[in-house]
Amino acid sequence: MLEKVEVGKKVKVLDIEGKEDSLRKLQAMGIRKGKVLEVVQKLGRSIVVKVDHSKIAISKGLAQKIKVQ
Amino acid sequence: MKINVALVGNPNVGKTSLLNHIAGTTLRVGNWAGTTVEKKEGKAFYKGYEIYLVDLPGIYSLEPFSEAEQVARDYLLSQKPDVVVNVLETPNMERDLLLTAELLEMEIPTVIALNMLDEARRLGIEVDKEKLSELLGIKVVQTNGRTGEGKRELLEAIIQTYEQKIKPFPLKYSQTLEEYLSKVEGNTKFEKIRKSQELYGEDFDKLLKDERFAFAHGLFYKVVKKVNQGAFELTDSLDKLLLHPVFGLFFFLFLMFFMFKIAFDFSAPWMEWLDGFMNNFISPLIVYLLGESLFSRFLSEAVVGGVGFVLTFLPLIASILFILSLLEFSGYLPRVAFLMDGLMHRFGLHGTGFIPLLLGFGCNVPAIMASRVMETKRDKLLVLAMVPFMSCPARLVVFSFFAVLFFPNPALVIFLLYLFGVSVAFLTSFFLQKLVYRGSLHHMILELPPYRLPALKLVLRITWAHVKHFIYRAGTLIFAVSVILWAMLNLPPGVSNPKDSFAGYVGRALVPIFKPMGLEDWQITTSLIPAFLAREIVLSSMAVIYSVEEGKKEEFEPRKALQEQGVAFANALKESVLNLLNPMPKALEVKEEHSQLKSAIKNSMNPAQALAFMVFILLYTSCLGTVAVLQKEGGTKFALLFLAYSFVVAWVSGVIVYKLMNLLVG
Repeated sequence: MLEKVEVGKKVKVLDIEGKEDSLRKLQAMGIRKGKVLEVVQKLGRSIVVKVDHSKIAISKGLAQKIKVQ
Repeated sequence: MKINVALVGNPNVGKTSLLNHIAGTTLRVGNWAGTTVEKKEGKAFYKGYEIYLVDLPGIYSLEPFSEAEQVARDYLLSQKPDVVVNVLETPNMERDLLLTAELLEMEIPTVIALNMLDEARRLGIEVDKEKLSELLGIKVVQTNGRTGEGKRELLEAIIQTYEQKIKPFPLKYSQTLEEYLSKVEGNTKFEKIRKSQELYGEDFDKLLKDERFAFAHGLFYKVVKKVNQGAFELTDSLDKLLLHPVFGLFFFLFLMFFMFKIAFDFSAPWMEWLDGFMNNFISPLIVYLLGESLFSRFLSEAVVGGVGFVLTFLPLIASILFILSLLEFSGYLPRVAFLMDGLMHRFGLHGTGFIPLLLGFGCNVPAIMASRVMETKRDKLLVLAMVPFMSCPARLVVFSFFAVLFFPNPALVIFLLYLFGVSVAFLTSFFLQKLVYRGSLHHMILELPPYRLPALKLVLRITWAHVKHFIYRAGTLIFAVSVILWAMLNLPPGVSNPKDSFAGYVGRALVPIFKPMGLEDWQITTSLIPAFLAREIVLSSMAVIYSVEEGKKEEFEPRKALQEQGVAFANALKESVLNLLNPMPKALEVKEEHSQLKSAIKNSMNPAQALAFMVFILLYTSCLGTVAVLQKEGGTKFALLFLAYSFVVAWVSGVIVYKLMNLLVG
C-alpha cells in the first residue's frame, strides 16, 4: 500500500482498488497502473507523491487504496 | 466576424497566462452563472476577426467529478464554441492527453497548444509537433505562457481551423470497443460513448477508461522524445524545504505575517488619505460648487459618503489580491493546503481555508474575495460562512470605544470578543457540515505545480480585473443601498432632527426587538441603520443622533483644501513606506475619538447593555462591502440567508450575554 511507503522511495503502481470518483480523478491526474511514484513528503494525514513531472498531495485514506510494489 | 474560442486544459497548465497575453486589457473575471467557479474571458482582434476567448475551469477529465468539470462540459455541449484550444503542459503531456482524447471524441474543430515550452526545454523534453499534427489531423502550436511566445501562431491556427473547419480525424479505439460503439446511434463518437455508457454500464466504462489511457500513452511515446534524463528540477529542491513538516510550517507562518503586514500597513495610510480626500475635499467641494440644497447634500452624503466610503477599501483589496495572485501563480498556494491540512481538518476544512480566515482579521471584504482559492464549492461556502465572524479593525474601533468606557480591563473584554467571534465561526461551520454539507470531508487530491516566477504583468492584470469588478459593485449594489440609507435619514423632505426621519421611525419600531438585550433607546437602534454601510459608522451616527457633536463647519476654500490634500498625499506615501520598514504590524492600532459622545453614552447605558451591544456588532454582518462580495462569491440567496442568519445569531447572543451579565452583576 502506498500509505506505508517511506519518504524518498520509488514504487510502481500495481492496482487501484475501488470505483470512487476520487480514485477516477487520481487516474486522470496521472496516477495509473504501471506508473512509478516517488513519495516526496508525508505530514499528518496527507502524503505527496511525484509522478512524471507532477506532484500530487493526497490523503492517506486514498493512498490506502493504491497497491504498489 | 466573431470566433468563439474555448480554452480547455488541466489545472496549472498556464491557460490564464496565455489568455492574458492574447486578450491584454480586455481580460475580465467573474463567476460562471449560478456557480462558485471563477470565469475568465477576453477578446482579441486579429485579421479582421473578433476572437472571443473564454477560459474554461482547469480539469483533468470531462467526467463530472465536481462543479468545474460540469461547467466545462456544459459549456462545450451547449455553447458549441467555434474552436476549442486544448492547452497542454508539455512536461506532463502523457497525463494531459487523456483530456485531449475526450475532446477529440467530441469531434469539434480543435487546436492543440503545447504550452510551457521553456520548462519542457529545461527538462530536455522534445515534442515532434508535426507528427502530432499529422496523427490527429489538427493544428498544433507551441507556446510559452510566461513570455507570450507563440501567440501569433496560435491566433493564426485558430483562424485557419475556423475558416477550414478543421476537425480532428475520428478517433480509433480497439476493435472490441468500436464494436460496442457501432451498435448505438449517434452523430459523434462522444454521443455514442454516452449512450453505450448508459446501455452497457460498468464493463464498458472500464474498457473505455483503459482505452483512453492507452491512447494517451501510445500517442505520448510516438511524439515525445526525452533527450536529457534526470534533469535538475529546482522545484524538488525547494519542496524539500517548503514542504518540510517543521521548516515549511515556519516559512508559511512567516510568509503570512509578511503578507498581513504588507497588505494592511502599506494600504492603511492610503485608505486614510482616500477617506480624507472624499470627506474633506470632494464632499465640501460639491456643496461649494452647487450651493446648499437637497441635491448637493445627496451627492456629497449618499454618493461620496456612501459609495466613496466603500471605495476607500480599494488600496487594501488591491494589495491583498496582488499578494494572493503572486502566491497563486507562483505555485505556492496548494502547498499551504498540504501544510495546514492537519490543523484545518479538525474543523472539517481543507488546509487552504486558513488563508481567507486569517485575512478576515484584517478586513472581511478581501478575505471573502480570497475564498476563490478554495478548491471545492463546499469548502468555499463553508469559508464564506465563517469569515464574517472574524473580527476586523472596524469592529475594534467600536469595541475599544465601549470597552474602555464601561470595563476596568478593556483589553480582556476585547480579547474575549475576538475569541467569541472565532468560536461562532467554527460553530457555524460545524452546524453547516452537520445539516447542509453532510457526509465526511472528501479526500484531498491536490496538484502541487512546479514553482514558477509569476509574470508581473499577469499578476497586475488579474489584480486590476478584480478591483474593476469591485468598483462596478460599488457603482451598482453599494450605490443603491447607500441611496436607500441616505433617503431614510433625510426624508421626509426638510427633516432636521433624525428623530423625525424615516430612520428615526424605523429605529423606534426596532426598539421592541432590541429590548431583550437591554437596548431600549431609539437613538441606539436608529444608529444601527446607517451603520449597515460599515460598523465603525455606528459611532459617528450615534454622535449625530445624540446630537452631541455638531460637525465643525469650517469655511471651505478650494485652493487651500487642495493644498491640504496634496500634503496629506505626501504623508500617506511617506507613512506607507515607513510602515513597511517597521517590524510590528500596525493594522490593529486604534485611535481615540468622540470624547463628547462618551459622556452621553455613559449616561444611557450600563455595562451589561454595552457588552450585549458589542456582541451584536461583532456578529451581525453590518457591513455593506462584505455583503456585496458575499453576493458575488456565494450568490444572492447565500448572501441574504447569511445576513439573516448573522442577525439572528447576533440577537440571540446579545440577549444571552445581557441576561447573564444581569445575573452575575445582580
